[in-house]
Amino acid sequence: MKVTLKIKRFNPEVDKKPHWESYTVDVEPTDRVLDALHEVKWSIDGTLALRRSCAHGICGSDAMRINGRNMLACKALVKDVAKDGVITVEPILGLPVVKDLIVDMAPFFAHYRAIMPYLVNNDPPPERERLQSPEDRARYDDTTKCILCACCTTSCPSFWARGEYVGPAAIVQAHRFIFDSRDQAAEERLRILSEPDGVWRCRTVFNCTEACPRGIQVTKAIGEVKEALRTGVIR
Amino acid sequence: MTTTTLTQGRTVRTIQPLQGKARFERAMWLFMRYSGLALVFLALSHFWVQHLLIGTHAITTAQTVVFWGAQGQPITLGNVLFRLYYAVMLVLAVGHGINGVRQVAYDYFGHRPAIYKGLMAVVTTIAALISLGGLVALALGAQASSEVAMR
Repeated sequence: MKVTLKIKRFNPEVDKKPHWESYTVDVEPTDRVLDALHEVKWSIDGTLALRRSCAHGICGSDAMRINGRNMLACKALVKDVAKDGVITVEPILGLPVVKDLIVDMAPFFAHYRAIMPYLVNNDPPPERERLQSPEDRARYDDTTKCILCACCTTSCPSFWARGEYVGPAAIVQAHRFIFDSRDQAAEERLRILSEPDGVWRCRTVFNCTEACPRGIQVTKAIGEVKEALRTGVIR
Repeated sequence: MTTTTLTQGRTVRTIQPLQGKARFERAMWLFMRYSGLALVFLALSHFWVQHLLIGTHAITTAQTVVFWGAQGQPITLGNVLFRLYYAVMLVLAVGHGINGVRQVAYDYFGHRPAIYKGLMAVVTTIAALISLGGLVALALGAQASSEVAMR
């Protein structure tokens, strides 16, 4: 089938502001948007810049705004997103555009690092692993699925308005460790998230949950962090 | 942080109470939830009283003064409840609105302290004036209310 890709292009060395360019490619309906973008880059216009790595929905590199919704280009099928044979593709919002579909992820990862995304346990290491009950493990199972693609954070209106907001992805990562019974830094993380640019900036819009390519209940996780801050109890 | 293990295999931990700005932000977040919920019922009740009990075409200043209860007659319990009802609605609505503006102002101007502080000063002044108006309405004396009713 013929599909027209309408891509938002921006080259900081040439352009003063972004502009749209259209490319028509021949693809199978079951091809992914990433395949269509490859066709453009490899056969029509080699100057198109995009980021991708594993191309199988695991690395999270190819997050982009397709038809106005954040998704991974490697998980979006052409037949599902093409509207009257047209697919619009643009970079994710809220982060500085480096070139075309590539954004600068540095501010995103700065927020990620701020919430201490690693297990903290100052007890002497046991002979084997640090054990926990199946119930305790299940508590944070959903938030272990995050691949840091930034689909959630860059779909959040609060983040668009204020880039200092830690954003849904960082809160999801914090949730993963706060509710881990083996971790000993939950209180510190909750203090970071209780700051004005922390979890209270979430307005429960649910864009993040809708955008997550891993199906994580992001808004629910944020709600659970709020609940821990409200009650002072991590359960 | 203290740790307690539940019998169902789930661990429960408690944290120290929040302090300072963090505590204030949490209080404001809770206030927005509770006041928003309360305002839904208060506003619907307001419409019910004004448009169904009194009647859309019978809403006049004189009618309001009768409900307000300050025409030289002893104030009844109904009058007191009517005043309290509108005082609560006023406080919650103004508080909810001002805090909402504070949030939006912080979103867009939080990184520019001068603009943010200036905006908040204007908003606070407006809130103070509205509250003052509410206080006047609550404490509306017999003579003043009669004069209003006469007009």
